[in-house]
Amino acid sequence: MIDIFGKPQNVLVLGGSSEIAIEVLRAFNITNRIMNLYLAGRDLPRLNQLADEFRSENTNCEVIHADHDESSFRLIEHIENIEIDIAIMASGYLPPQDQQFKPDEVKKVINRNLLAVAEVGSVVIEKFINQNFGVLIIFSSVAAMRPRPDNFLYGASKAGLDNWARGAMFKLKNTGAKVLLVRTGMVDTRMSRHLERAPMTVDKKFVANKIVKNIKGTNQILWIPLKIKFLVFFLKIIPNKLLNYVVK
Amino acid sequence: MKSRISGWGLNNFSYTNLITFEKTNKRNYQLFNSGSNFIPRGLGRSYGDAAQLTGGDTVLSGDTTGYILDEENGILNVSAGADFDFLIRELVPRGWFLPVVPGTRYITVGGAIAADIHGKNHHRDGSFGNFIYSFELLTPNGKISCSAFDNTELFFATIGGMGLTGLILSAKIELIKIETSLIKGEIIKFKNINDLLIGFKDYDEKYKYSVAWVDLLAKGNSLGRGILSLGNHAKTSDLNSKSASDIFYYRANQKISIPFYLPTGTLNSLTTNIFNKLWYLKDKKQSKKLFSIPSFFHPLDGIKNWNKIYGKQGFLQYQFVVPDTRSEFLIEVIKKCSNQKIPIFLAVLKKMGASNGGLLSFGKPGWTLTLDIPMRTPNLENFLNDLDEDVVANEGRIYLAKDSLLNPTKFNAMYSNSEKFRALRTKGSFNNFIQSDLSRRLSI
Repeated sequence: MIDIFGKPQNVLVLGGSSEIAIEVLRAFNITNRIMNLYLAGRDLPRLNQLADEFRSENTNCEVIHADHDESSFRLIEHIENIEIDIAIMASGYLPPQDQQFKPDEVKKVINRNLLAVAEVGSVVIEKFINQNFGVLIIFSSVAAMRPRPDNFLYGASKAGLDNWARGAMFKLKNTGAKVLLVRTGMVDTRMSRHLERAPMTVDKKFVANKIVKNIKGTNQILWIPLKIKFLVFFLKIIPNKLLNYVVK
Repeated sequence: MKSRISGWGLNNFSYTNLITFEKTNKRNYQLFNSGSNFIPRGLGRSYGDAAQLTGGDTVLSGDTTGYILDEENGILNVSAGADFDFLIRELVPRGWFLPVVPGTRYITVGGAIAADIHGKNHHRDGSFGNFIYSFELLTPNGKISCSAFDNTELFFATIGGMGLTGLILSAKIELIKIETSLIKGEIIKFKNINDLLIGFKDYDEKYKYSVAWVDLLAKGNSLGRGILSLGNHAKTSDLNSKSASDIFYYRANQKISIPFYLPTGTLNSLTTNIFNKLWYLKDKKQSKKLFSIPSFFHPLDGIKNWNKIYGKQGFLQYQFVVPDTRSEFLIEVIKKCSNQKIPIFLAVLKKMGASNGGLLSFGKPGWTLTLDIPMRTPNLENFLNDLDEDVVANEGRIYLAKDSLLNPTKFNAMYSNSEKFRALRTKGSFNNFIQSDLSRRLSI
């Protein structure tokens, strides 16, 4: 169950080594709570290291191997047998800018950013509908709002995910469960560290704290930082010619 | 389609199937065969999540007016769905009163037993469970009668058992005889908490009912200043000519209503401070007067939906009891609230008396302090977690009917009979059928 402060007892993380997800878990104060934590992902050594950090007298932590192969089906079966209060869908991949037209990269991006999340998320949603509570956290991006040359492939996958998440909101209406769609600009993590800092770049702890504050309540779309919502409004209405001139 | 409900604190909503139990409807006896867990619910005046079950069934009583009054012996045989507002209207004009009434009359008899409610007379008379001769309980094994001599274990598990031991169908209650419908009251102001604690000791002997409002924002020499309200049932000789014309006159209306949620933040340190100052000043230092039953026992009930003044984020009520010897801890809590400027306009202090045999009954000898705290209070979670630990360290406990946040570890530390209660639930298979959000949270 999720308590009155939005703190859960059972959490699933897909993309368990995601830095933002880790900060969300820290903001939940995992080690001081009685709970079950499930870390699902590809990087088993890293996941096991994190599990050791979170494991405590009160907290059980299980690592589940999940890649976009047959292991994802085992994960889906596993989900059906465990309790989940909050599911953090943090699986994500940012392709190199010069690789965006490589078929392998296209497949990787779409699989990790959209397909894996939608597949696993669908099972979680059914679970939430049956139990009448739960929060499904999905990470979108301003890149989803309008394609730009340097990240259009990433943006395409996030646009698909953003639409899927908004569809899921309809499904969860009046069930007691909700989607929390997190739309951020650039976040300072290892995924973006090699890139030039964009305006309104935020820290991962800041993102995590905002997420935790919005677990309770009716808000389903969370812009971080809030002012990026207004930037996106203008980005969407700028004519292409002007956008091409402004954006590299 | 599921209904969205919550406790009185409006701080944790739940989607649940609301179903109404009718004693005459045989299908309803299949409560234990429906395949779904359920929890009984009265009028939803528990502040937390005790009377709701997310994803399950929440059972309301269909019989809200059935009763038989044995006027010779002062015994009321009443349906568990009847509420105190209805019963007081029926009983007072006939010269009877309920033996224990809490701060609201909008609770059912079943809820009163399940929460083992207490009132302003706990220091003398104990809690509601002390006045129950017997009740009928619907269990997985059918309908059974429980009393202090019959199915005793289940009797004492049900009193204060938060509805987790079956559906209470009806109860036999001992009433008290009254000469009039008025309360002969005395109001005394105390400049600080130390004087107030002494005041309780001085006056509790003389009065059946006593409770104090405490100003938690007062500081320095005025720390914990308060107003002690005392009362006894008025005798006919106490009445003036006007009130003597109808000695059992009783009228209780909800004069105003809060139609919508006030903006979050309406109750803040500033507005609360202003309210507290005005409230403290409104009374003389010491005065005696006759009160009507509603104005003495249930002043807040005069405002319908008063909980909406806390806004959409709601509030929680935190009530704990600590032994007599821990009055220093009480003062520390008051000091903390004052220093942190927590906007609590309703803080109530009461002396408690002997406990009864209820396994999860709250009342025990000592001091109980009740705090209404807005959910938007900064750093509230840490404040409450620290307070929980301090309550445990001071041999105290939290009232489950008000609780929104305890975890199993703290609950076990506060209630020495917690394992006994769990064992009973397992033995009787109650845990296979009856659950609430509270029981899930506390792993009961």
